[in-house]
Amino acid sequence: MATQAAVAPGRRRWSPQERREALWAYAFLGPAFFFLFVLILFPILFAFWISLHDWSLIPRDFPLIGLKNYVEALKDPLTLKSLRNTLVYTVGAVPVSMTLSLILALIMNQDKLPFRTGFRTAYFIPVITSWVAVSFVWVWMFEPRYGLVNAFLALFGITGIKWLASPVWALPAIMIVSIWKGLGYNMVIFLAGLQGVPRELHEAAKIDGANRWQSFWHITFPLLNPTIVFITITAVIGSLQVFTPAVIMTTVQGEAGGPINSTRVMVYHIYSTAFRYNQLGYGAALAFLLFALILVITLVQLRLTQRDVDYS
Amino acid sequence: MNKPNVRNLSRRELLKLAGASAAVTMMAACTPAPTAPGAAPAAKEIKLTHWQHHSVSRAQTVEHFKARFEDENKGVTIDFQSIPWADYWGKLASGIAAGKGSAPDVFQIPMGLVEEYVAGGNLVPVSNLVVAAKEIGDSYLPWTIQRGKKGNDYYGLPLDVQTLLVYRNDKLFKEAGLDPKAPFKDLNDLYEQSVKLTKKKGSQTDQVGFDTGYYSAWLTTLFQQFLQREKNGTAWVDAGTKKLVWPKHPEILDLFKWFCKLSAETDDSAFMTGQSRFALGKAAMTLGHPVTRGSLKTQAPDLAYTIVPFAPRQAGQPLYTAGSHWMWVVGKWVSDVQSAWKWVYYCTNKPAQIVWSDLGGDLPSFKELVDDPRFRKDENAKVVMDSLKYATPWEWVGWAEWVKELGDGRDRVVIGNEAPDKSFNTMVDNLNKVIETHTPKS
Repeated sequence: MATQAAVAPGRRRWSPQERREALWAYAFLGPAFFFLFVLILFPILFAFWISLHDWSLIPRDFPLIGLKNYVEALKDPLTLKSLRNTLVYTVGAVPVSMTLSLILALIMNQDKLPFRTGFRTAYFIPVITSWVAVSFVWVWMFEPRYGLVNAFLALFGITGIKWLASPVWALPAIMIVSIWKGLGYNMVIFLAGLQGVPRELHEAAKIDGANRWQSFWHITFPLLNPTIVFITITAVIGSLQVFTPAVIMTTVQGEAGGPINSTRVMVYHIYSTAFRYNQLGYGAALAFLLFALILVITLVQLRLTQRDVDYS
Repeated sequence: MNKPNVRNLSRRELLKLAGASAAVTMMAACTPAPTAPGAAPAAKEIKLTHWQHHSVSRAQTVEHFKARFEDENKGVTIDFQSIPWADYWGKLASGIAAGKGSAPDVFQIPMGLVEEYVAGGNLVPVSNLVVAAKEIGDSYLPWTIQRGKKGNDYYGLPLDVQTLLVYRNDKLFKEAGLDPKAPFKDLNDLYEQSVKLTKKKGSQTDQVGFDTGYYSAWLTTLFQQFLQREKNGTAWVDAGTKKLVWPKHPEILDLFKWFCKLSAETDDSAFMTGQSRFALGKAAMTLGHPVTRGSLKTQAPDLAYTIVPFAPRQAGQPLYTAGSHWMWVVGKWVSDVQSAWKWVYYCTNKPAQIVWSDLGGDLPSFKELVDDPRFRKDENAKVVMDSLKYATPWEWVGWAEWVKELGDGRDRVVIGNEAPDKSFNTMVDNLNKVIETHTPKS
């Protein structure tokens, strides 16, 4: 103690033992830092560098053009249409998916429900099924003339929906598939949240005369807040990055996003610009715009939804 | 028993030991392989990397050539990679960006991108020591090498040569009282046949007269046919302005309107979406490449069909089709230019093209082979081989954007009910931007 106090005004010298320990710590952290820099940080910085150039996938001289790619992207009708489609998809798919999965989780949380484990497994199967396989099957189901969906709707007198061939219905068709596929995942997260709600609170409320709705609204729902925040944020980020179903379900002659760009989502727009149209610089700028959008939306969500939860 | 003489290894000693063993391993790895006493010095080893996008039959064909080439050229090995389509462009771009050691020595690109690759200084021309430029010009069909030529040099040799032809379902034609073998008189004849072959039950389509889904090929063929046959082969991009000449010719807008009408009345994009309607007997006609014969053989082996040339715009005009192909090229970073071009020529010369046809179902690009009886075994094959004689190459500057813009042009009219003139103008504006992006700056 006396030694430490003596050197306190300046920087304390490390003992050889401390130095050795620090060295070992860095040695163990080294590989992780190396991969972090090489595989994550460097590509991000390099992508930003590319976005400032007229950079083509076909090598040539790439002149520095500053923020021109960003300015053009914000004026480009196809980019704005892709952004709009992505936001519509997110706003349409996330709330419906969350509501349905919460209802499902509440049902699956009932102790007296017969075959509860079987149901939980059944609802989770779409989650572990390949997006590509699922998308192909749904393309057949949405086929307007012979598809199962229209055959089912015809039972209720609803006919003539052209689904993936219609600029009005194509995006909702993709949302339906995404909601169906994501239901099981959100349900499991909600179930975990529900099982963290102390049983005594419900018992006390019951003694105080609260009905099932009051018990849900005043106890379960507030205590699910951390779960809701987690699902909302991850689901919104996932929806803003939607790619596979939108591409598999709408590709005609190698080009996806139709008809008339009605299902062109931002990640496909980035992919096709960079890797199909060879405009890597412009594609990189689009990627950073999407990143900025996701960042802003996530921060707003955190601000609006995060609050302390007291289980006591 | 005596206690063994054991002591703990300190960290410092452990590090020294690890460092020493790593150094020994590295030295061992860097040491040249021992040569047997009295053995002759090894010949210069040349390793060529060759990338192409994957197709089972094409990969098998390249493997066939690789085995023979390596056998005939001791010291040369071909590192062949058949890359899935979805990964091909990303991998090619990153490989080329990383340069020598990562970039493929030999790779394939569509003919519409060769000019950009050459302008970027990425390719080396065909080595005269392997095949002289004059010999290339004399032996290949001109339209199959035209887009690989810059100055007096050729920068690629063609493969995957395709034209566009009309496939007709014999059964559906006969049911409608039409002769599937009779060629079209003109575009009006094509339209009338399509109408006659379209079947609807109430408001629902039951059979399409013409599967017009290959929109980009349709419009390319129609527009190029007009310029080639009626405007003395005028190029569709003006050499001075670098813009499309289409707006100067009202006939081209008329052709666009005609196509939208045909597609709206005799096709239905909501009918069996994404399925091969011709193979399933639900489309009486389709526009396809000769390679479609291979997929029909697999998908619908019992389907009887006839291939006929595309309809002339006006009766009596010479036949026309738009031709496309890929090119095998050699990167500037290659260590041995001559060996690389020797390999490419080995896979694209006259004997190789017979193998490509047998194993991969490809069309030849050698002039001498067009009339070779081996390629003309039936009536459909004769129509296909004859089409090689009157084709000219697609004039796309760039590539994938054309698929989108030409398809969107049709969709806006047929699905979105936009006025054809407006959609046409949007299409032209967007394509002019594409041309500007892909035209090398001089």
